Amino acid sequence: MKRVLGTPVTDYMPALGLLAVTAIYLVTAYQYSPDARAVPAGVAWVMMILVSFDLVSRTRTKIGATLMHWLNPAGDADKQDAVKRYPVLKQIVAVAWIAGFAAAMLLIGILYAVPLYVFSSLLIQGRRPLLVCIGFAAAATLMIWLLFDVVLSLELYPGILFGGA
Amino acid sequence: MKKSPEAILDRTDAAPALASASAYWRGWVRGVDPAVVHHWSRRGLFAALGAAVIFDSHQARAAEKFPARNIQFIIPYAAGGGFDAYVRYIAPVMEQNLPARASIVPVNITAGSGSRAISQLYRSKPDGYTIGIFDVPGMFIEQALQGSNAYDLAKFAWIGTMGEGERYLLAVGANSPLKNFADVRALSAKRPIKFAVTGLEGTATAAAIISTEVLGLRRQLITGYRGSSDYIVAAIRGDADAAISATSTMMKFARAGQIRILASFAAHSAIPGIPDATALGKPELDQLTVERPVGAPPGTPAGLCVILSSALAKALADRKVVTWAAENDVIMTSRTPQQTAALVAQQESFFERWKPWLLHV
Amino acid sequence: MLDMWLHGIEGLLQFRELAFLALGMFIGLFFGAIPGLGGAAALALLMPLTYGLEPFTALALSGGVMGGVPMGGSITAILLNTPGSAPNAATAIDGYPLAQQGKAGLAIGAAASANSIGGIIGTVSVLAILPVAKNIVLLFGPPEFFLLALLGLVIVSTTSRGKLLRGLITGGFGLMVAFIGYNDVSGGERFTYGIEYLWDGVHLVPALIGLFAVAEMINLYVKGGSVANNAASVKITKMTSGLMQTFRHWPTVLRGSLIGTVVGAVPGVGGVVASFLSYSMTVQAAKEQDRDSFGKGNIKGVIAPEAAINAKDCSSLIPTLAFGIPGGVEMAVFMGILIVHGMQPGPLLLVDHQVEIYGLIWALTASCVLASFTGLMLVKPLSYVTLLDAQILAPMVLCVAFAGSYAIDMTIENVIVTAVFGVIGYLMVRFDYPRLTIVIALVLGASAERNFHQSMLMGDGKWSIYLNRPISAALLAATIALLVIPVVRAMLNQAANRKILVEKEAA
Repeated sequence: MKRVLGTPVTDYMPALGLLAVTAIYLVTAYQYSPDARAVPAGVAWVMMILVSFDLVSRTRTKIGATLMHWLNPAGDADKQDAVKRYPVLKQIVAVAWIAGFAAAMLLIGILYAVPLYVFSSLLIQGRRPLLVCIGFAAAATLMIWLLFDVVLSLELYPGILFGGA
Repeated sequence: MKKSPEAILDRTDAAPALASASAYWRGWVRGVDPAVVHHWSRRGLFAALGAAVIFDSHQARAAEKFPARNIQFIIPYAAGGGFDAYVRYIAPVMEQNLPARASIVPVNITAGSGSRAISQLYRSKPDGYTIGIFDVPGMFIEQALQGSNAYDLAKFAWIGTMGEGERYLLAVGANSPLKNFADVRALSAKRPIKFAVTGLEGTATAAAIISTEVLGLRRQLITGYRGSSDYIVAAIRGDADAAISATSTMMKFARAGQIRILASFAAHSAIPGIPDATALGKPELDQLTVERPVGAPPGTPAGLCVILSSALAKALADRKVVTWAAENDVIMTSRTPQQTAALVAQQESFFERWKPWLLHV
Repeated sequence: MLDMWLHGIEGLLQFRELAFLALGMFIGLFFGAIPGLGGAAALALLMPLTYGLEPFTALALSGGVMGGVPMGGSITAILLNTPGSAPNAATAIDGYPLAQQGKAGLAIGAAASANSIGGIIGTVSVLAILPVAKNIVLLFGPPEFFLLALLGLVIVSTTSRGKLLRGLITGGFGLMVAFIGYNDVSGGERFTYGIEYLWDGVHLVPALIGLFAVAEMINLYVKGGSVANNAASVKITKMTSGLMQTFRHWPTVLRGSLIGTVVGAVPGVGGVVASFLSYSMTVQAAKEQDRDSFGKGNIKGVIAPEAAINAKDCSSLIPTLAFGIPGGVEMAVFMGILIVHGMQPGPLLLVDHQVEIYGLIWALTASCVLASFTGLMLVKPLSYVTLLDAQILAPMVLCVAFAGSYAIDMTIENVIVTAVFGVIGYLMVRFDYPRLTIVIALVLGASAERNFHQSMLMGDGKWSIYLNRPISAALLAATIALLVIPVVRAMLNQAANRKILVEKEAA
């Protein structure tokens, strides 16, 4: 994997992302009245400093190692190498399943998303026999329907495509 | 899709779960119920999957009878306040007076001095399954602040009111050095009086602003409390000098000896030993009321409003509710949808008069 | 006074009352175990049923529900890293690692017994202070509340061993998220970017389901296998071993119960604060060599929050009953049941309905002991959940988690929040950011800010308001001490080390 200043490039991502989010937050905060922005803007400024420290401390430079050692000793370089790493692609696939399921709920509603997701996840990700997939998909749907619709009489979200608001 | 209330009423299947499945099959076999047909056309491909049939039931049920499932009753304030107590006490009685078995579930949505609750209600499906209690005239202030895009009170489908409008009382904590209204005036001459209130847009906040304007008291608002119990406790605790709140809520604390009532803004108050609006020489304070209309999203069929309105009226006339109301110093009468609409219009004109003070605090 | 207690017990010891109490307990246990559902949903479901009951029976039923929920919540928190209800998120921090080591049974056993003992200690303290409870509630105004929140944030962010910087970062991020939504003090909404859902802020429970449950399911997807990586140790699980652990760590139980009792009595503070504070204080109080094992499966990390949660349930009745200010949604729904039965929450309730209230407190305690026993009975079968195939377990858990998240208030946006926080939670684990601080910041952020502004309004803009009030001054001192002491201790240690080094060299 590509390394910058001795650290895999992915390890910088959270801090960089957070820095961007905080910057947007700060810009937004300054559109509010002084009273309304006082506390949020204060927190955001402190965050800018803390996240910058985090970013620097992740580099394998002298100053980075010093910062890490004093502020976050659990992240010292020697401890980092022992951490087990999983392939990035595998992690992206796992996140995609979650995103896909949430999107399905939004679009086609809970009662269709549940069997669709359980079935396809077991089939594609889990590589189970077809009948097992169908069985679990049906069981999951029945469970959700019984609990939420019948027992709690809640209207399960019908999905944007089917008239949900 | 439109049916007369009687037609909606005449089906009263008992167990909702069984009814839903059977209703579906009946609709499917007959194949003429326009609601079901409309429903299926939207289903597209999924319509072919027979297994799916059992699962979707609500629209079909709705076409058969009302109510066929739980009704959400939105309360724009936190649990524990006056509005909340009203709904929570009356909802169970009201549901017994509905033509079919269904629960009325109170839902507290607290953000934005109630404005989020009301704009959510404004955009809910007008199917009679979402109704809400309103805080008037407070909601007019919020509407003016939000601009026309949030909601328009004039467009709601009105159902009735929960009781007569209540007048306001001014009170201080039991340990406060302020012993009577003259002390309040004297303090105002020295420094602004601190009032604990909810957000800037609440009815109680409006009452504090208007009444202090009328009485010529200097005020400083301590905003942000989460409902009437919360800000009255704040006054007891000494966070603020005083609080202004509706009669029923105040009396709860006064009976326990935790607050001392110093003035009533009703024209003629029954509480002994304190000045009322007449004695204060400001009879216009009597116009300051908190009204509790109940409404449904714009476009809710009139037939459904009538069903809900009659359930509400019957609930308010229930002996249990009448006794409870008497214990809590309120008069429980309802209004018809038309009377409620008229009341809201009248409150709007009251609000228009005070708008300049309420919008520039 | 004493006869009121006894009347309360007497009323409860009837067949019908006990039957409804047990029914409530089982429903509470079940609802507590399902993320998104919990005491509030269970009570709302049972509310229509209570209309036909005598007030006393209705209270026995409600007490049963409220006593059963925490136990149910801790079971899923330990087995699946999926806190059934929000306060149990603290239990998951050490409970789930234990499950991964094949010690789920031990953790559940400890949670069950800590639950009971915490509940009993909570009851005793509440019974002792009930007559003066009103005064305690009145001691906490905006300045005290603000400083309490600040103290909570400081305690929790100094807890994660060796992760001070990243703990502060996640805390700061939590605060930023907490400020989203309507601003109660000066009006208008903030950081909502035109999304109406956000007016009410980011809802806590969907966020927690994401941070813990969904994050772990992503992890299971990536990792495969099963929750427990040591099948042999799952199979030798004994019911009693967890029980013994609780008795062995009695200072932890006691500390947790007392924290729970105090936090519960402060109006508007929920169980999450109680359980996280208790967890953090336990870590802070642990011996130096013991501290590193927290977060990796230290049994005390399970005992501390569980003891606090049940103790808090009891004392949080005080603000709810005496002032009508509920600490959470569950209490709000419970207030509805009280109102329906003609008991108006407020200052008169404790005077007019003493017998019922004492009965309720006993019911709550009885139910939590009963729920613990049920939990202990289930230790063995439940532990086997950790041996299930992850590829099947993860989709099933996610279905319930997402549906539960939607069901909280029937808003589909909750599902989006859950998914987003699931990814955030996964990234936090992956890049080693502690989740402790983000939770407490999410819970306390908005009310801390509100109380800060209110304090400034009260004190006419002068900071001296925080010093002029005894409790707020004490809280301020405690906060400063907490920040300064570790630094001083580290400096002393270093000086001592240097001295030893010098002496060695001299020798």
